Amino acid sequence: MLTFKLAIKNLIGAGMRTWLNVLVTAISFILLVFMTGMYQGMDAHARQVTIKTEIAGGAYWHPIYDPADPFTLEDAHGVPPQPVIDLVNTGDAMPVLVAQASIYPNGRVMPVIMKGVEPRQTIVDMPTANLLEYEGESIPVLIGSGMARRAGVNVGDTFTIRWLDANRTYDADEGMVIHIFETENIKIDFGQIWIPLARVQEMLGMPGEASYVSYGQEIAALTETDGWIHRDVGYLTRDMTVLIEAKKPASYILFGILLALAAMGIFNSQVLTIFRRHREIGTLMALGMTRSRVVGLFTAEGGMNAFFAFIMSALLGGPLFYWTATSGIPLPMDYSEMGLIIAQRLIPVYPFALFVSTTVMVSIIVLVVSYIPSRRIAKMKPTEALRGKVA
Amino acid sequence: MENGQIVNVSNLVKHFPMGGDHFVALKGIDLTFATGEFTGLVGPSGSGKTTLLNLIGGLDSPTEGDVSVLGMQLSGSSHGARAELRRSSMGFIFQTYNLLPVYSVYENVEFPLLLNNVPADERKKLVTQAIEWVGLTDKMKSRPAALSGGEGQRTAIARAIVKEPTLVLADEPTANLDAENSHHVMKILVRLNKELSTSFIFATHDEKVMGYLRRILNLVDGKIVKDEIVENPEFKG
Ligand SMILES: Nc1ncnc2c1ncn2[C@@H]1O[C@H](COP(=O)(O)OP(=O)(O)OP(=O)(O)O)[C@@H](O)[C@H]1O
Ligand SMILES: [Mg+2]
Repeated sequence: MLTFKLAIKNLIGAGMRTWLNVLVTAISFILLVFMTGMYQGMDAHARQVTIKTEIAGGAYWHPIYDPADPFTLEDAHGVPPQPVIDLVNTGDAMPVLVAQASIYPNGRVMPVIMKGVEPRQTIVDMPTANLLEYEGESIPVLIGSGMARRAGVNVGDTFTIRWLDANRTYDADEGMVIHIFETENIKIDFGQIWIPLARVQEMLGMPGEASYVSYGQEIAALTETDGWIHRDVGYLTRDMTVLIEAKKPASYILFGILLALAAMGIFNSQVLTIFRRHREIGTLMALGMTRSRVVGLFTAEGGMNAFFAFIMSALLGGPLFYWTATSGIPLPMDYSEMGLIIAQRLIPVYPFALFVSTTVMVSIIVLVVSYIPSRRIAKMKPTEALRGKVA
Repeated sequence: MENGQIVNVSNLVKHFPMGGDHFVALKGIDLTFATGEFTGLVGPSGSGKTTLLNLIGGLDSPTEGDVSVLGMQLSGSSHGARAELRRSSMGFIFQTYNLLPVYSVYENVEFPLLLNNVPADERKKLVTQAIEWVGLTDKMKSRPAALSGGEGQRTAIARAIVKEPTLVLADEPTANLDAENSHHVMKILVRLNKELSTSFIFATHDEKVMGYLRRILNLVDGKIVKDEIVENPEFKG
């Protein structure tokens, strides 16, 4: 008990020096949590963007629809089962009709996936409503900025679209770029052209048909789907999950590097402080403190340093963590004038385990860098400790 | 233990490494101190006074020979046992004070009592009294950094005597004190010696301190050249 009383007395008595050391530890703690949270947030962000702009609550696929195999697209269409149509009618789902096509921008040929989408949909975060603004004769086309750059087209430009209809004959007509959107989700951008659903159904000669139907988040899954395959978010994001899992070792390495940096900061402040206190250690031994008691005292000081650091981290880091986890960190680009609602913000993710592991790691570091140097000094004869000849 | 031995030093040799060679600070010292002695080691600077006090206090270990203090043979003892002995029975006054920098005068003086688990009320009484003896009552709350050299030295003296130890090792306790304070402090130490039979071993150059000593050991070049009993000290305390 005396050890703890003395440890507190020493820490409080040392005033500024203590608070600087505590601050170093706290900053290390905050940085560890924050950086790791950012890193994990990037993965979570990518997942969120994909869900918001593409996947929504999940989808019902035509029995042979397989986005990984474009050659199946020709046959992957049909009228969705009634329960799915009911969802569409209440605005809780949106049918998408998918077909292969070619476009001829600036005299070049580019194979694309043509997607018919209901312009008034509210299921995914895409500016499809812009398609309604066009009233001319051409096919209104919505594309992503990446695709626009690749094709070398701007809003108002036209190009020929060529497709294979239900009768397996080639048709062609002129498409016009109505709107170009910015997105972080390249899967709705590159190689994709978006056209009003009714127009695509008419072009292909497939009235009322779709390749898949996406439904909104928080819409319960149907049990009766008449052969159409239910794909939930887990299935639709499985590639991404595999990718994130594959990146886990990298995230441990990052945590390790950050931890090493934090350890160096703590090491600096703590070890130097203790070595500078060699005379005090010699005095304590001369006054009759045993080695183990001296080491215990300094380790207790270290432990308390860690404890204060966690309080300081909570006070300084708490609002930071809360604010960033709720509002996100603004990224340096702003796409709002492009008509997209995707917030260009990175939301860090701070799982509880991150706090626990960081607390444990930082505590161990602080204890070790208190224990080792004080033991080293306490191992000396009191006269040597007093003189401060640290070997 | 009125006339028993408190310290016994036999054939004590101390080398300090110096470059590839070594420096011989103590060259075979044999001494006996009885309980209740008021003795001084005197001699030129570098003669080995501090070295000898450190060895008696178990703060350093001899190259050869042995020291026993209060019946404990230091060279065969564990580090912990020596610390225990210092904690319970010895007081140190360092040439360089060695006060604990983050503690006030009061807390510095209180420290040995905390280590000895002295109850709070008794602690308070003893600390207040020791600080009063050395005349620092008005500096009780000051930190060592805010003290003059003499005040720091008096704090170190109070810390050494507060637990009323059996043996006090005092290295130049008056080096930074004016004549008045030197006499004042020495009188307190003489009183402790008389009333509690506390044994004192000084290392000193100070004529005023020598005036109180009842035994003077002359140390030159790491050897005792004269061991003299003073029947009638100049100052009586
Ligand atoms: N740790 C050490 N390493 C090397 N030499 C030392 C060490 N400690 C003391 N000495 C040497 O031993 C000799 C005796 O030193 P000591 O401190 O005992 O002298 P002293 O009699 O107390 O002198 P002073 O009156 O100046 O305090 C000196 O020559 C000193 O340089
Ligand atoms: Mg000396």
